[in-house]
Amino acid sequence: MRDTRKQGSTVKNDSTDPHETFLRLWMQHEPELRAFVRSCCPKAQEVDDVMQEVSVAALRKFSTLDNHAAFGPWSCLIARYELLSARRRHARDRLVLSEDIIAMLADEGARELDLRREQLQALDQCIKKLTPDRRELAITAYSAGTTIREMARRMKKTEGSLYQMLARIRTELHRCVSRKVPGASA
Amino acid sequence: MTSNNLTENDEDLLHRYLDGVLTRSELESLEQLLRSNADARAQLRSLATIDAKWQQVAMNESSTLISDACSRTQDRFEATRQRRLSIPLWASLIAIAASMAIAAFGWFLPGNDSTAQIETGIARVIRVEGQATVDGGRPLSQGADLFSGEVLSMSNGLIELAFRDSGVHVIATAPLKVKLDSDQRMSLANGQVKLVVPPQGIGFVVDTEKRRFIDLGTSFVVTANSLGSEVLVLDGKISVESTNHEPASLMNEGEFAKFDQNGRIKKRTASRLSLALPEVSAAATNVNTRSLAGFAVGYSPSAELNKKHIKEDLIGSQLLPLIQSGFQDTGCLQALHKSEPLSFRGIAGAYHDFPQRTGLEPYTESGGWLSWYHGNVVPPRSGRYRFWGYADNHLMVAINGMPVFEGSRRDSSFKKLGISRTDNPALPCLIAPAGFACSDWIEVTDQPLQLDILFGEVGGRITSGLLLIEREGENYEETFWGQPKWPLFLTESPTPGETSELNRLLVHLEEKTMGSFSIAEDAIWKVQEQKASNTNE
Repeated sequence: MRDTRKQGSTVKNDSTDPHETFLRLWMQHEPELRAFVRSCCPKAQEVDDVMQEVSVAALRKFSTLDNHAAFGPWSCLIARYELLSARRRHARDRLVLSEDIIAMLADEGARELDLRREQLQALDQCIKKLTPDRRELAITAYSAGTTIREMARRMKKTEGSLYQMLARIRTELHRCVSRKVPGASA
Repeated sequence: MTSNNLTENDEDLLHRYLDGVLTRSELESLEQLLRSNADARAQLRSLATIDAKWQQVAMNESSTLISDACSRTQDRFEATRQRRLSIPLWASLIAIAASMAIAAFGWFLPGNDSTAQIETGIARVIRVEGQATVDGGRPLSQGADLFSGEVLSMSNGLIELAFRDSGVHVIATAPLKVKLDSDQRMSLANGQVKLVVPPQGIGFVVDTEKRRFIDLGTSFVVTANSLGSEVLVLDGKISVESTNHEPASLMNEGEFAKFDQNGRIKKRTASRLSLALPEVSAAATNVNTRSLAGFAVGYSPSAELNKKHIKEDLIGSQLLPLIQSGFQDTGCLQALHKSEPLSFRGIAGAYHDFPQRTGLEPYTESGGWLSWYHGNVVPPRSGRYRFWGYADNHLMVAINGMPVFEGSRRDSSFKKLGISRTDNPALPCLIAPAGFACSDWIEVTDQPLQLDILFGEVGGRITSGLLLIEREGENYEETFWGQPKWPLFLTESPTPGETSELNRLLVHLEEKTMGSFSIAEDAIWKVQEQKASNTNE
């Protein structure tokens, strides 16, 4: 896998504590890696599990990474394996995408890390443009441990209508990001 | 229609996937959409980025906002914490650091209490020959689970294990004492272990007292005893580290190294094991009307090649006009040197000596070669089929002039054709890191169709390939790794000589890469003289 990064490749191989270097690189790349993983996880809650496995595997294998500037694509490769392993674990008891599709999403996604980073930056602005109610709704829905069922009960709405509201927020943000980042799908 | 030519229904599927509320039939529709539409995949990734951003924002702000929201109105929503909390990065990293510290300093200590909390073993026993025990007591039999931290001992015989999550396959021989530290690591005090590591297990570590062997490829053998350790790399590469933080070194396929009891290297040798892949050589030039006919081409010895680097693909580029014309325009072949007429015997195994045994020599080896098989064939039955395979370097199949499968290595010019393909690294194929490549489903009737197969080498003499065929709805025996043993794609039954060579190849693949195939008479696409064609996709 080649390094597709155009910017932010400021981390060089150095002689500092490898754990410290790893931590620095991980924190730098975690947001786009999380986005990469999310597209292949049908449940948002599984993203944390996969990310945890990826961080453990990446740290274990970190000594084998010669070029620290390639940390992003390299960790995507690890994430790809973890995603496929997670898919295999879950395939018996829930609906999951076929392996070939996960591989396709992951392979293409690994080439879009620059785009992910730009989209995440643009989202900071786009989220600010949301009305406070919508922003609050989304933050609550995406908080760890939140269930849509419980949210719907408390808001006296149906689960379906809540999902629709979240989809509309997602669509609105997608349009906003697409305007700001040429090349994003829109 | 909405953006990107996605219908509202398509977009709805993407949202419902991200919300985790798809039904089985919706999942099937989504899979169909994602397989066929790159825009849909791109949009899914963009929408997933939005979700990931929200997760990040929520992680930072949720506690404050939720408490504010709930205190403002009783009717507003409230986050309940029914599921496990997400683990912050710092905690995760501390856990990683702790696990590494245990690995580094816990050499052969008995498993701690946490082992008891693990309900499912990290590895399973596939076969035992002799008496094997764990932690000096519990006898092991076929199907038994092995848990993290357990020490496995044997005084004689052998044991075969498979690690549950990483898929690492181990054959260990006695006298044996090995501790299973985790799904990613074992500590070998005494004995010999042979590991086959599928792609998802890359990074698997075998610790010996003074040396640490980290898999970066496919297969290696480690031997350890009180006098030191040895390692032989069968496929791929490994990283060898010392336990006293000296710089790591890489060892490649075929290399052997021996270390003394202080971890000092005593011997290191290199060889080329990829050359050991069996070559099916029988009958390639025994042309008959029953099999697909072809020939190989290469540059003549007098050709002046403008090749900038060794892996630049001249021959593949040269043949692109032939492919793009639906295999009608043969002008690009005029200047090339031709082999003897060839008979298609399947694509399987090594082809290192192919130019020599097919009469292509003398030719310019650095310019590579390509074999082209062409003719009309009849599928054994109507239905939907797909091709599986891989080649180092070129492999392409076209039906009725349209390329339907591309299983080439990354340096092949055939990539320029943009033929739809999926890679399956979980299913090892030859020594390909990408695993088996797979085509889309192709629908055919039982009427004749035009078939074109291209297979070859970018430059040099190390060539290999495998081309298999799957029929939708067919049940195939599976390997231990779960790879169906799809039939070799053939246009004629193999001769007894070929069958014996193919069986030798099968044994090699199953032992070395855990890949496999089958030879099935009812999967043969027989050659048909009649010039008619049909395909629906």
